[in-house]
Amino acid sequence: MRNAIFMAAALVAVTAVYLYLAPATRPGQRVPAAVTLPIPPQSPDAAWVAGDAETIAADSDDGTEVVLGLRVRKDRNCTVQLRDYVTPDGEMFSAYSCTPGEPRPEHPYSQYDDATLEAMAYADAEAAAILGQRLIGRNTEKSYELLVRATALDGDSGHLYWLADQAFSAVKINDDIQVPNVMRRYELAALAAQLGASDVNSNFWRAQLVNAGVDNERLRQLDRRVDELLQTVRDIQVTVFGEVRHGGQGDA
Amino acid sequence: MRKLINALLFVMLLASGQAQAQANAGVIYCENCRDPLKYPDDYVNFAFNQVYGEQGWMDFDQADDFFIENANGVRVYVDVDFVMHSSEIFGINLPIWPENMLQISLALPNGMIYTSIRSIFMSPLPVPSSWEPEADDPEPENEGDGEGIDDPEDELWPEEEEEEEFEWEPQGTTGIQDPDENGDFPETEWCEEC
Repeated sequence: MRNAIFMAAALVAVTAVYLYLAPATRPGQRVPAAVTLPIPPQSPDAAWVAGDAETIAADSDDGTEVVLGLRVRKDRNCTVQLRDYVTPDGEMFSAYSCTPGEPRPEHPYSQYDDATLEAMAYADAEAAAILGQRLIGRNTEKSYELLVRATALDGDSGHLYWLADQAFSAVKINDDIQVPNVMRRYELAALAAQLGASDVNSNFWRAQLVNAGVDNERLRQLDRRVDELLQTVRDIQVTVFGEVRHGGQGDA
Repeated sequence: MRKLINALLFVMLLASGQAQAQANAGVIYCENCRDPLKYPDDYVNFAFNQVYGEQGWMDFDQADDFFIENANGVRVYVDVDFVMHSSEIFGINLPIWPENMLQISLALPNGMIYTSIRSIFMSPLPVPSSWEPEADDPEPENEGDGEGIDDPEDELWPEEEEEEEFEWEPQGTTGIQDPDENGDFPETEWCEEC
Protein backbone atom coordinates (compact mmCIF):
# COMPACT_ATOMS: atom_id res chain seq x y z
CA MET A 1 0.00 0.00 0.00
CA ARG A 2 2.86 2.31 0.90
CA ASN A 3 4.40 1.66 -2.51
CA ALA A 4 1.13 2.48 -4.24
CA ILE A 5 0.87 5.77 -2.39
CA PHE A 6 4.46 6.56 -3.23
CA MET A 7 3.90 5.81 -6.92
CA ALA A 8 0.71 7.83 -6.94
CA ALA A 9 2.51 10.79 -5.38
CA ALA A 10 5.29 10.46 -7.94
CA LEU A 11 2.81 10.41 -10.80
CA VAL A 12 1.00 13.46 -9.46
CA ALA A 13 4.34 15.26 -9.08
CA VAL A 14 5.34 14.39 -12.64
CA THR A 15 1.97 15.56 -13.90
CA ALA A 16 2.26 18.82 -12.01
CA VAL A 17 5.75 19.48 -13.33
CA TYR A 18 4.65 18.62 -16.88
CA LEU A 19 1.64 20.91 -16.74
CA TYR A 20 3.71 23.69 -15.22
CA LEU A 21 6.43 23.51 -17.83
CA ALA A 22 4.36 22.60 -20.86
CA PRO A 23 2.78 26.00 -21.61
CA ALA A 24 6.21 27.48 -22.22
CA THR A 25 7.25 24.83 -24.67
CA ARG A 26 4.17 23.10 -26.00
CA PRO A 27 3.40 23.88 -29.62
CA GLY A 28 0.11 25.55 -30.21
CA GLN A 29 0.28 27.65 -27.11
CA ARG A 30 -0.96 31.15 -27.63
CA VAL A 31 1.05 33.87 -26.06
CA PRO A 32 -0.21 37.42 -25.82
CA ALA A 33 0.22 39.06 -29.17
CA ALA A 34 2.39 42.12 -29.43
CA VAL A 35 -0.47 44.02 -31.00
CA THR A 36 -3.91 44.14 -29.46
CA LEU A 37 -6.49 42.77 -31.84
CA PRO A 38 -9.13 45.33 -32.76
CA ILE A 39 -12.77 44.35 -32.33
CA PRO A 40 -14.09 43.39 -35.75
CA PRO A 41 -17.25 44.80 -37.23
CA GLN A 42 -20.11 42.32 -37.54
CA SER A 43 -20.05 42.12 -41.28
CA PRO A 44 -21.33 38.89 -42.84
CA ASP A 45 -19.17 39.52 -45.90
CA ALA A 46 -15.96 39.86 -44.01
CA ALA A 47 -13.93 36.68 -44.14
CA TRP A 48 -11.37 38.19 -41.85
CA VAL A 49 -11.35 41.48 -40.05
CA ALA A 50 -8.11 41.93 -38.16
CA GLY A 51 -4.60 40.68 -38.23
CA ASP A 52 -1.28 40.55 -36.47
CA ALA A 53 1.94 40.65 -38.39
CA GLU A 54 4.67 38.18 -37.56
CA THR A 55 6.15 38.70 -34.14
CA ILE A 56 8.98 36.36 -33.37
CA ALA A 57 8.89 35.53 -29.69
CA ALA A 58 11.52 32.84 -29.52
CA ASP A 59 14.22 31.50 -31.77
CA SER A 60 15.85 28.10 -31.65
CA ASP A 61 18.62 26.21 -33.34
CA ASP A 62 16.43 23.41 -34.64
CA GLY A 63 15.20 25.39 -37.64
CA THR A 64 12.08 26.63 -35.92
CA GLU A 65 10.92 29.77 -34.18
CA VAL A 66 7.86 30.84 -32.26
CA VAL A 67 5.72 33.32 -34.16
CA LEU A 68 2.60 34.74 -32.54
CA GLY A 69 2.68 31.88 -30.08
CA LEU A 70 2.98 29.19 -32.71
CA ARG A 71 6.16 27.19 -33.37
CA VAL A 72 6.86 27.35 -37.09
CA ARG A 73 9.63 26.57 -39.52
CA LYS A 74 12.18 29.24 -40.34
CA ASP A 75 12.36 28.17 -43.98
CA ARG A 76 8.68 28.83 -44.67
CA ASN A 77 7.64 30.73 -47.77
CA CYS A 78 4.75 32.58 -46.19
CA THR A 79 3.84 35.11 -43.54
CA VAL A 80 2.21 33.86 -40.34
CA GLN A 81 -0.83 35.83 -39.28
CA LEU A 82 -3.33 35.60 -36.46
CA ARG A 83 -6.65 37.03 -37.47
CA ASP A 84 -10.20 37.24 -36.29
CA TYR A 85 -12.80 35.79 -38.61
CA VAL A 86 -16.55 36.24 -38.65
CA THR A 87 -18.76 33.38 -39.78
CA PRO A 88 -21.92 33.97 -41.84
CA ASP A 89 -23.83 33.51 -38.57
CA GLY A 90 -21.97 36.42 -37.04
CA GLU A 91 -19.82 34.36 -34.71
CA MET A 92 -16.20 35.34 -34.35
CA PHE A 93 -13.15 33.16 -33.97
CA SER A 94 -9.39 33.64 -34.07
CA ALA A 95 -7.19 31.49 -36.23
CA TYR A 96 -3.72 31.37 -37.71
CA SER A 97 -2.88 31.32 -41.36
CA CYS A 98 0.29 31.55 -43.39
CA THR A 99 -0.08 33.69 -46.48
CA PRO A 100 2.35 33.08 -49.35
CA GLY A 101 4.27 36.14 -50.47
CA GLU A 102 3.62 35.40 -54.11
CA PRO A 103 0.85 33.30 -55.59
CA ARG A 104 2.03 29.96 -56.91
CA PRO A 105 2.43 30.12 -60.69
CA GLU A 106 -0.04 27.96 -62.53
CA HIS A 107 1.04 25.33 -65.01
CA PRO A 108 0.52 26.59 -68.57
CA TYR A 109 -1.64 23.56 -69.31
CA SER A 110 -4.07 24.44 -66.52
CA GLN A 111 -5.71 26.90 -68.90
CA TYR A 112 -6.57 24.18 -71.39
CA ASP A 113 -9.98 22.56 -71.43
CA ASP A 114 -10.51 18.86 -70.83
CA ALA A 115 -10.83 17.93 -74.50
CA THR A 116 -7.56 19.62 -75.42
CA LEU A 117 -5.73 17.97 -72.56
CA GLU A 118 -7.17 14.58 -73.42
CA ALA A 119 -5.88 14.88 -76.97
CA MET A 120 -2.47 15.92 -75.71
CA ALA A 121 -2.43 13.15 -73.11
CA TYR A 122 -1.68 10.54 -75.77
CA ALA A 123 2.03 11.30 -75.55
CA ASP A 124 2.34 14.14 -73.04
CA ALA A 125 2.69 13.02 -69.44
CA GLU A 126 2.04 16.47 -68.01
CA ALA A 127 -1.23 16.81 -69.91
CA ALA A 128 -2.32 13.38 -68.74
CA ALA A 129 -1.39 14.20 -65.15
CA ILE A 130 -3.12 17.57 -65.09
CA LEU A 131 -6.32 16.21 -66.60
CA GLY A 132 -6.18 13.15 -64.36
CA GLN A 133 -5.88 15.33 -61.28
CA ARG A 134 -8.61 17.63 -62.52
CA LEU A 135 -11.04 14.75 -62.98
CA ILE A 136 -10.55 13.24 -59.52
CA GLY A 137 -13.92 13.07 -57.80
CA ARG A 138 -15.70 13.85 -61.06
CA ASN A 139 -14.74 10.82 -63.09
CA THR A 140 -12.57 8.53 -61.03
CA GLU A 141 -12.17 5.87 -63.71
CA LYS A 142 -10.94 8.38 -66.27
CA SER A 143 -8.67 9.95 -63.68
CA TYR A 144 -7.23 6.52 -62.91
CA GLU A 145 -6.61 5.82 -66.57
CA LEU A 146 -4.91 9.17 -67.15
CA LEU A 147 -2.65 9.02 -64.13
CA VAL A 148 -1.51 5.50 -64.97
CA ARG A 149 -0.84 6.80 -68.47
CA ALA A 150 1.14 9.72 -67.08
CA THR A 151 3.29 7.26 -65.15
CA ALA A 152 3.78 5.16 -68.26
CA LEU A 153 4.90 8.20 -70.23
CA ASP A 154 7.34 9.78 -67.79
CA GLY A 155 8.05 6.94 -65.37
CA ASP A 156 7.17 9.08 -62.35
CA SER A 157 5.48 6.95 -59.70
CA GLY A 158 4.34 10.09 -57.93
CA HIS A 159 1.26 10.08 -60.16
CA LEU A 160 0.30 6.69 -58.76
CA TYR A 161 0.80 7.78 -55.16
CA TRP A 162 -1.23 10.92 -55.80
CA LEU A 163 -4.02 8.84 -57.31
CA ALA A 164 -3.98 6.43 -54.38
CA ASP A 165 -4.11 9.26 -51.86
CA GLN A 166 -6.91 11.18 -53.51
CA ALA A 167 -9.13 8.48 -54.99
CA PHE A 168 -8.84 5.91 -52.20
CA SER A 169 -8.24 8.20 -49.29
CA ALA A 170 -9.96 6.75 -46.24
CA VAL A 171 -7.83 4.10 -44.60
CA LYS A 172 -9.72 3.82 -41.34
CA ILE A 173 -13.01 5.13 -40.11
CA ASN A 174 -13.42 4.76 -36.37
CA ASP A 175 -10.62 2.18 -36.35
CA ASP A 176 -12.37 0.05 -39.00
CA ILE A 177 -9.90 -0.49 -41.80
CA GLN A 178 -11.36 0.33 -45.21
CA VAL A 179 -10.24 -2.79 -47.03
CA PRO A 180 -11.37 -1.88 -50.59
CA ASN A 181 -9.42 1.35 -50.44
CA VAL A 182 -6.37 -0.34 -48.97
CA MET A 183 -6.49 -2.96 -51.75
CA ARG A 184 -6.42 -0.23 -54.38
CA ARG A 185 -3.61 1.52 -52.59
CA TYR A 186 -1.66 -1.71 -52.46
CA GLU A 187 -2.12 -2.28 -56.19
CA LEU A 188 -0.88 1.18 -57.06
CA ALA A 189 2.05 1.03 -54.64
CA ALA A 190 3.00 -2.41 -55.96
CA LEU A 191 2.84 -1.10 -59.51
CA ALA A 192 5.10 1.78 -58.50
CA ALA A 193 7.53 -0.72 -57.00
CA GLN A 194 7.47 -2.74 -60.23
CA LEU A 195 8.36 0.46 -62.06
CA GLY A 196 11.43 0.99 -59.92
CA ALA A 197 10.13 2.86 -56.87
CA SER A 198 10.84 1.71 -53.35
CA ASP A 199 8.77 -1.24 -52.18
CA VAL A 200 8.32 0.33 -48.75
CA ASN A 201 4.80 1.53 -49.52
CA SER A 202 3.60 -1.68 -51.11
CA ASN A 203 4.98 -3.72 -48.21
CA PHE A 204 3.21 -1.42 -45.80
CA TRP A 205 -0.15 -1.78 -47.55
CA ARG A 206 0.25 -5.52 -47.95
CA ALA A 207 0.88 -5.81 -44.23
CA GLN A 208 -2.27 -3.80 -43.58
CA LEU A 209 -4.27 -6.20 -45.74
CA VAL A 210 -2.81 -9.22 -43.98
CA ASN A 211 -3.60 -7.68 -40.61
CA ALA A 212 -7.15 -7.03 -41.82
CA GLY A 213 -7.57 -10.73 -42.55
CA VAL A 214 -7.32 -10.68 -46.35
CA ASP A 215 -6.45 -14.22 -47.38
CA ASN A 216 -3.62 -15.36 -49.64
CA GLU A 217 -5.88 -16.09 -52.59
CA ARG A 218 -7.19 -12.53 -52.58
CA LEU A 219 -3.63 -11.25 -52.32
CA ARG A 220 -2.66 -13.36 -55.33
CA GLN A 221 -5.57 -11.85 -57.26
CA LEU A 222 -4.29 -8.41 -56.40
CA ASP A 223 -0.80 -9.36 -57.53
CA ARG A 224 -2.19 -10.61 -60.84
CA ARG A 225 -3.95 -7.30 -61.26
CA VAL A 226 -0.66 -5.52 -60.61
CA ASP A 227 0.88 -7.61 -63.39
CA GLU A 228 -1.94 -6.56 -65.70
CA LEU A 229 -1.42 -2.92 -64.81
CA LEU A 230 2.29 -3.29 -65.48
CA GLN A 231 1.53 -4.83 -68.85
CA THR A 232 -0.76 -1.89 -69.58
CA VAL A 233 2.04 0.53 -68.76
CA ARG A 234 4.40 -1.31 -71.09
CA ASP A 235 1.76 -1.41 -73.86
CA ILE A 236 1.34 2.35 -73.64
CA GLN A 237 5.09 2.87 -73.92
CA VAL A 238 5.41 0.53 -76.87
CA THR A 239 2.52 2.25 -78.62
CA VAL A 240 3.84 5.76 -78.04
CA PHE A 241 7.62 5.31 -78.02
CA GLY A 242 8.04 2.02 -79.83
CA GLU A 243 9.88 0.57 -76.83
CA VAL A 244 9.52 -0.07 -73.10
CA ARG A 245 11.23 2.83 -71.36
CA HIS A 246 10.09 2.39 -67.77
CA GLY A 247 9.05 -0.78 -65.99
CA GLY A 248 11.07 -3.08 -68.19
CA GLN A 249 12.61 -6.27 -66.91
CA GLY A 250 15.53 -4.29 -65.61
CA ASP A 251 13.28 -2.09 -63.51
CA ALA A 252 11.02 -4.80 -62.20
CA MET B 1 -6.57 -2.23 -4.88
CA ARG B 2 -3.05 -0.99 -5.42
CA LYS B 3 -3.16 -1.91 -9.09
CA LEU B 4 -6.51 -0.21 -9.45
CA ILE B 5 -5.19 3.02 -7.98
CA ASN B 6 -2.12 2.92 -10.19
CA ALA B 7 -4.18 2.20 -13.29
CA LEU B 8 -6.56 5.02 -12.43
CA LEU B 9 -3.72 7.47 -11.93
CA PHE B 10 -2.08 6.39 -15.15
CA VAL B 11 -5.28 6.94 -17.09
CA MET B 12 -5.72 10.32 -15.42
CA LEU B 13 -2.19 11.26 -16.41
CA LEU B 14 -2.78 10.31 -20.02
CA ALA B 15 -6.14 12.04 -20.12
CA SER B 16 -4.83 15.24 -18.57
CA GLY B 17 -1.90 15.29 -20.98
CA GLN B 18 -4.18 14.79 -23.95
CA ALA B 19 -6.64 17.40 -22.73
CA GLN B 20 -3.82 19.85 -22.16
CA ALA B 21 -2.41 19.18 -25.62
CA GLN B 22 -5.78 19.81 -27.23
CA ALA B 23 -6.38 22.91 -25.15
CA ASN B 24 -3.14 24.41 -26.42
CA ALA B 25 -3.48 23.27 -30.02
CA GLY B 26 -3.44 26.10 -32.51
CA VAL B 27 -6.35 26.84 -34.82
CA ILE B 28 -5.50 27.19 -38.51
CA TYR B 29 -7.92 28.89 -40.85
CA CYS B 30 -8.86 27.08 -44.07
CA GLU B 31 -10.87 29.20 -46.44
CA ASN B 32 -11.49 26.47 -49.02
CA CYS B 33 -12.36 23.63 -46.67
CA ARG B 34 -15.98 22.59 -47.08
CA ASP B 35 -18.33 20.60 -44.87
CA PRO B 36 -16.04 18.10 -43.11
CA LEU B 37 -18.73 15.42 -43.05
CA LYS B 38 -18.99 15.51 -46.84
CA TYR B 39 -15.45 16.47 -47.74
CA PRO B 40 -13.03 15.27 -45.06
CA ASP B 41 -10.26 15.09 -47.64
CA ASP B 42 -10.29 18.88 -47.89
CA TYR B 43 -9.01 18.88 -44.32
CA VAL B 44 -6.57 16.02 -44.86
CA ASN B 45 -5.02 17.75 -47.87
CA PHE B 46 -4.97 21.10 -46.12
CA ALA B 47 -3.28 19.60 -43.06
CA PHE B 48 -0.68 17.92 -45.27
CA ASN B 49 0.09 21.19 -47.01
CA GLN B 50 0.68 22.97 -43.69
CA VAL B 51 3.24 20.39 -42.68
CA TYR B 52 4.92 19.17 -45.83
CA GLY B 53 5.96 20.45 -49.23
CA GLU B 54 6.61 23.88 -50.60
CA GLN B 55 3.68 25.39 -48.68
CA GLY B 56 4.68 23.76 -45.40
CA TRP B 57 5.28 26.12 -42.52
CA MET B 58 4.26 24.37 -39.30
CA ASP B 59 6.86 22.70 -37.17
CA PHE B 60 6.20 18.96 -37.18
CA ASP B 61 5.82 18.86 -33.41
CA GLN B 62 3.36 21.71 -33.67
CA ALA B 63 1.43 19.80 -36.28
CA ASP B 64 1.01 16.85 -33.98
CA ASP B 65 -2.13 18.48 -32.61
CA PHE B 66 -4.01 21.33 -34.15
CA PHE B 67 -7.42 22.42 -35.30
CA ILE B 68 -8.59 23.47 -38.74
CA GLU B 69 -11.53 25.86 -38.86
CA ASN B 70 -13.35 26.74 -42.05
CA ALA B 71 -15.13 29.94 -43.04
CA ASN B 72 -18.35 28.71 -41.45
CA GLY B 73 -16.67 28.23 -38.10
CA VAL B 74 -16.70 24.42 -38.31
CA ARG B 75 -13.71 23.13 -36.39
CA VAL B 76 -11.94 19.81 -36.97
CA TYR B 77 -9.25 18.38 -34.72
CA VAL B 78 -6.22 17.08 -36.62
CA ASP B 79 -3.46 14.72 -35.61
CA VAL B 80 -0.50 14.24 -37.95
CA ASP B 81 2.07 11.49 -37.51
CA PHE B 82 4.75 9.93 -39.63
CA VAL B 83 3.98 6.33 -40.49
CA MET B 84 6.84 4.47 -38.89
CA HIS B 85 8.53 1.38 -40.20
CA SER B 86 8.51 -1.07 -37.34
CA SER B 87 10.61 -4.09 -36.68
CA GLU B 88 9.91 -6.96 -34.34
CA ILE B 89 12.47 -7.15 -31.57
CA PHE B 90 11.96 -9.79 -28.88
CA GLY B 91 8.37 -10.14 -29.95
CA ILE B 92 7.64 -6.44 -29.69
CA ASN B 93 7.02 -4.24 -32.71
CA LEU B 94 9.24 -1.21 -32.32
CA PRO B 95 9.10 1.80 -34.65
CA ILE B 96 12.49 2.18 -36.33
CA TRP B 97 12.36 4.90 -38.97
CA PRO B 98 9.68 6.95 -40.71
CA GLU B 99 8.20 5.71 -43.96
CA ASN B 100 7.47 8.14 -46.78
CA MET B 101 3.93 8.60 -45.55
CA LEU B 102 2.02 10.83 -43.17
CA GLN B 103 -0.97 9.54 -41.27
CA ILE B 104 -3.55 12.26 -40.80
CA SER B 105 -6.44 11.61 -38.44
CA LEU B 106 -9.42 13.91 -38.16
CA ALA B 107 -11.91 14.10 -35.30
CA LEU B 108 -14.99 15.20 -37.19
CA PRO B 109 -17.78 17.23 -35.58
CA ASN B 110 -20.04 14.15 -35.38
CA GLY B 111 -17.42 12.29 -33.33
CA MET B 112 -16.15 10.13 -36.16
CA ILE B 113 -12.42 9.52 -36.46
CA TYR B 114 -11.38 9.65 -40.11
CA THR B 115 -7.89 8.38 -40.81
CA SER B 116 -6.10 8.82 -44.08
CA ILE B 117 -2.55 8.54 -45.32
CA ARG B 118 -0.67 10.78 -47.70
CA SER B 119 2.53 10.00 -49.52
CA ILE B 120 5.11 12.75 -49.52
CA PHE B 121 5.98 12.60 -53.19
CA MET B 122 3.70 15.26 -54.62
CA SER B 123 2.71 18.55 -53.09
CA PRO B 124 0.87 20.75 -52.60
CA LEU B 125 -2.32 18.75 -52.50
CA PRO B 126 -5.52 20.29 -53.81
CA VAL B 127 -7.90 22.11 -51.47
CA PRO B 128 -10.79 21.67 -52.17
CA SER B 129 -9.82 18.08 -52.68
CA SER B 130 -12.16 17.44 -55.58
CA TRP B 131 -14.24 19.10 -58.22
CA GLU B 132 -17.14 21.01 -56.77
CA PRO B 133 -20.25 21.22 -58.93
CA GLU B 134 -21.54 24.71 -59.45
CA ALA B 135 -25.08 25.67 -60.26
CA ASP B 136 -24.55 25.62 -64.02
CA ASP B 137 -22.32 22.56 -64.11
CA PRO B 138 -23.56 19.12 -65.06
CA GLU B 139 -23.70 16.33 -62.54
CA PRO B 140 -20.52 14.39 -61.80
CA GLU B 141 -19.72 11.92 -64.54
CA ASN B 142 -19.32 8.89 -62.31
CA GLU B 143 -22.13 6.60 -63.21
CA GLY B 144 -24.00 4.12 -61.09
CA ASP B 145 -24.68 3.91 -57.42
CA GLY B 146 -21.61 4.36 -55.31
CA GLU B 147 -19.27 4.47 -58.30
CA GLY B 148 -16.00 5.79 -56.99
CA ILE B 149 -15.21 4.95 -53.43
CA ASP B 150 -14.83 8.45 -52.15
CA ASP B 151 -17.81 10.01 -53.78
CA PRO B 152 -17.95 13.33 -51.95
CA GLU B 153 -21.71 13.38 -52.15
CA ASP B 154 -21.86 10.46 -49.77
CA GLU B 155 -21.80 11.67 -46.21
CA LEU B 156 -19.68 9.70 -43.82
CA TRP B 157 -22.29 7.88 -41.84
CA PRO B 158 -21.06 4.42 -40.97
CA GLU B 159 -24.49 2.82 -40.90
CA GLU B 160 -25.20 4.04 -44.42
CA GLU B 161 -21.79 3.21 -45.75
CA GLU B 162 -21.89 1.19 -48.93
CA GLU B 163 -18.51 0.10 -50.20
CA GLU B 164 -18.47 -0.81 -53.84
CA GLU B 165 -15.19 -1.66 -55.40
CA PHE B 166 -13.91 0.66 -58.03
CA GLU B 167 -13.09 -1.29 -61.16
CA TRP B 168 -10.98 0.02 -63.96
CA GLU B 169 -10.25 -2.25 -66.86
CA PRO B 170 -6.67 -1.88 -68.05
CA GLN B 171 -6.26 -1.30 -71.75
CA GLY B 172 -5.01 -4.15 -73.88
CA THR B 173 -5.24 -6.82 -71.22
CA THR B 174 -7.96 -8.96 -69.78
CA GLY B 175 -9.65 -7.81 -66.61
CA ILE B 176 -9.93 -9.76 -63.40
CA GLN B 177 -12.46 -12.54 -63.77
CA ASP B 178 -14.48 -14.07 -61.01
CA PRO B 179 -13.72 -17.67 -60.12
CA ASP B 180 -16.13 -20.40 -61.11
CA GLU B 181 -18.18 -22.37 -58.60
CA ASN B 182 -15.12 -24.52 -57.82
CA GLY B 183 -13.04 -21.49 -56.98
CA ASP B 184 -10.83 -21.91 -60.06
CA PHE B 185 -9.82 -19.03 -62.26
CA PRO B 186 -9.82 -19.34 -66.05
CA GLU B 187 -6.49 -19.41 -67.80
CA THR B 188 -5.38 -16.07 -69.16
CA GLU B 189 -5.20 -16.05 -72.94
CA TRP B 190 -2.24 -14.11 -74.28
CA CYS B 191 -1.98 -12.95 -77.84
CA GLU B 192 1.47 -14.07 -78.89
CA GLU B 193 1.28 -12.53 -82.35
CA CYS B 194 0.32 -9.08 -81.15
